[in-house]
Amino acid sequence: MKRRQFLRLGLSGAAGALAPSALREAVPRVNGGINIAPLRRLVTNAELTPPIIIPELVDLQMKLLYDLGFEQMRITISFELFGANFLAAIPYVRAARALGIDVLGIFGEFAGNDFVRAIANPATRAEVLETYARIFGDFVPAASKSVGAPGRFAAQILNEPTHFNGLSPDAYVRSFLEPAYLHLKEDDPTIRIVSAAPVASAEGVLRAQKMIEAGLEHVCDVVAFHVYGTRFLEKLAALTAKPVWVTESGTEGTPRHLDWYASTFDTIRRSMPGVERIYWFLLFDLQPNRFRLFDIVRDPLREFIPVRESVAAIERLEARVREASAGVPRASYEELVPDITLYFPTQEDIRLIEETSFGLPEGLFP
Amino acid sequence: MRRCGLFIGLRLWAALVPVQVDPDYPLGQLGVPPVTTAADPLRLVDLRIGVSDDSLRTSSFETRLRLGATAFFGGEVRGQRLAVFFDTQRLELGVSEQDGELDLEGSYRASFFRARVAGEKRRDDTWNVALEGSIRLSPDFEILVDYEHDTDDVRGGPPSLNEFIETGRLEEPGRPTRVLRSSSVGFLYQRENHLELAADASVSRIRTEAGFDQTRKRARASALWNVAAFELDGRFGFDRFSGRLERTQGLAELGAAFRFAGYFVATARTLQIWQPAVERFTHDYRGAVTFFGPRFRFARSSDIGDEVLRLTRRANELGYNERRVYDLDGLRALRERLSLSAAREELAGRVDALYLAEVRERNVPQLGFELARSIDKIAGSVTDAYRVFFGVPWRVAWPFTRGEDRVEFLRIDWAFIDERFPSPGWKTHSHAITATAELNRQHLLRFRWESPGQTPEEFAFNIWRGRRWSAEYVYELGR
Repeated sequence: MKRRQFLRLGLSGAAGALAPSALREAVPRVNGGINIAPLRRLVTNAELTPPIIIPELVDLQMKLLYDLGFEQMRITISFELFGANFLAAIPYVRAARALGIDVLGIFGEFAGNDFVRAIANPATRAEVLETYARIFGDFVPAASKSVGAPGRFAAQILNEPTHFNGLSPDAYVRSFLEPAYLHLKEDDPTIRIVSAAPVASAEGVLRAQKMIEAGLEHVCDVVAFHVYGTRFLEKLAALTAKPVWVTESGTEGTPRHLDWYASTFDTIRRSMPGVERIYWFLLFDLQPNRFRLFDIVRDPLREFIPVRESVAAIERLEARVREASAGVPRASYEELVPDITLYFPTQEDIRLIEETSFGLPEGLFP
Repeated sequence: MRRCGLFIGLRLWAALVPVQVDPDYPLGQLGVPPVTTAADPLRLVDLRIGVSDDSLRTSSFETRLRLGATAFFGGEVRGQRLAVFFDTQRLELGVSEQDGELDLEGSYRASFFRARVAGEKRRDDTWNVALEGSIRLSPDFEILVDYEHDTDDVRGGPPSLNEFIETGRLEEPGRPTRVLRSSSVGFLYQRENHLELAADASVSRIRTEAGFDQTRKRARASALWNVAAFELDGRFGFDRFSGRLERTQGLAELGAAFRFAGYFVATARTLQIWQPAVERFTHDYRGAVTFFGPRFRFARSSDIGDEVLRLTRRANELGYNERRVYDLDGLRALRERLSLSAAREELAGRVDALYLAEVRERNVPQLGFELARSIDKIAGSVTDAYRVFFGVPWRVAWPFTRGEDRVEFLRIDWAFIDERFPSPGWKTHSHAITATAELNRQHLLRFRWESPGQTPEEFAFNIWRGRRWSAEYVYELGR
């Protein structure tokens, strides 16, 4: 039995068993995309202290995502030699897809160059990309029939390669995006490959020109940009005829969030007609009053609780969900995902990693 | 006042020190090399031998001989590259081959025009051909025309997924962005020795690596102005790209060199490249101060310039169509070419006078440093370069002392390059040390050691060029 079939049977059986008998429609997905951090513990540098992944933290972020009606989620799947943060991304991706949320997974790394070295090296390129594709791209059943179709998985090859990895734009296209495109399409021709995203700044425009000149559009399905300012939108729009995903957009300073959501997103869509998706940056991180919508604090009794930081923006998102719900009661997150650990890494995932030349990192499973 | 008087006295003393016309070198006095006399039948004029720790790929051997009174010929082996050439005053022919790629070059110099054709034949039998021409309308003014054509019109496209699935291999990278066709017209105006103006306009068809074409319209202008103690040069350009990536790009480069206190030269230079309404994406700033043992002279405002002017004007009257040049290699080539001409006996005196002026007014750098900063916004890098050198003249003296009879002897150059990629927080350092010994103007030994840094991209590809050394012996008759 292939892994894909195994997952289909295992997860759909489990989801079916846990899903409520009375079928209520899921919360409507009307609020576009959002970036989330694949938190596994609520600290800056989470070492390998057990538990490696705190289920309640995953549960909380997924609940916020579901309740606020987001259609798409973008998340970093940090390689780190298949370390703890790689594993932590698994429940986020699978749960989101089970909830009908499309997932854009960044193939890259929070810090370091292990991923780019693994992709640049012909000896390890295929196994790394195929392991990513099999663990994250394989079929995930919907949590309930009320969800409709499960979310699809798309891959973004690196985040901002010049900014984070020091790679030149043309080398990125030639040596990273093209091989990844071919390997991933070979495994699944339907997977959407998203390019790394130059920032919509002066440097970003120049880098995007170089990427297009090097053949970017031949080796991706979607061109991505990050938009933190509106000055260069027309210039970016003129660069490509491909579909565009704005994979990060937001503004620094909580009081400005609502205006960015309400008017700047419209400006982006008007200025860049090819834009299909915009992902807000971001749901939660550890830096207050900058980009995040929520803070998460640890309450001794209730474990992790969300604190509304960008209140006006959150209320707008909720209002849109309410409006789309038209007063019809909707299935709660808890009804759809009664046990988040169902989506946690499986023995099969571990086996796939063990079979690579990297193996499982030491200390991860003592 | 007393210090000022002392300073003026030293300056006067320096000016009155007799200049040795045939200076003493470690190998003794040199005399006037036999550049203007015919060989009987052959004379070695160039020999260059280079070895390195990576010997097979980078070692080189180059030799050039004079054949009687009419030609030079020679050959070169540089790694896998083999080359032969044959030059007369009017005709220059060359052919080289490396890894199945062939380069052919030929030029003809008539009394009022010069034409050059260069062709590069690739392994896939495509050619890149460049035609250059200059029409001399006066001793000071030339019209310049260029045409370039690439017969390889392969257009890049998406990689074949089917082929990848069948073979499991990635395709070879496509052709890089290149000029398919280009035409340009321009001029060069040389007023005496102190002013040079050039400009050109071109239209080019550029095929990008992605496979789409762009049209580039380019206008460029440059100027150089020299007076006794000061030289200013500038280069300005404007590119207009039309097609998929429509944009405008500007370039400005400005340099200045200033002699002070007779023996010091300060230089400053900046290069800026930008896209209007977007950003300046290349900034380069550099400044240097050099101390010379003998009094420093700009070639253009010295006897060298005067001799060049006399020689080229007479050569052009005789129909030899020579442009004025001022660098050592260019001056040597000029003297050699005219010594092959039918009027070599008439010009011999002027050719030797130019050589003697070069010897007499040689610049002997003894101490110097340079600081440079380059910012590349596209690569996201900032590079700081620090270069220092000291030279021990012949006869041996401290580098910080001066004397008009000095010649170059030993020199140590050290370069430290600090390249930073601030966003990913990457730093890399490179060092290079070069030791040079000039036994006289014609014999030179050079040893170079370098320890290159590693950029993030090289780290990703596991490329490290490693520490390397190379050594070179150079013989150049009449340099």
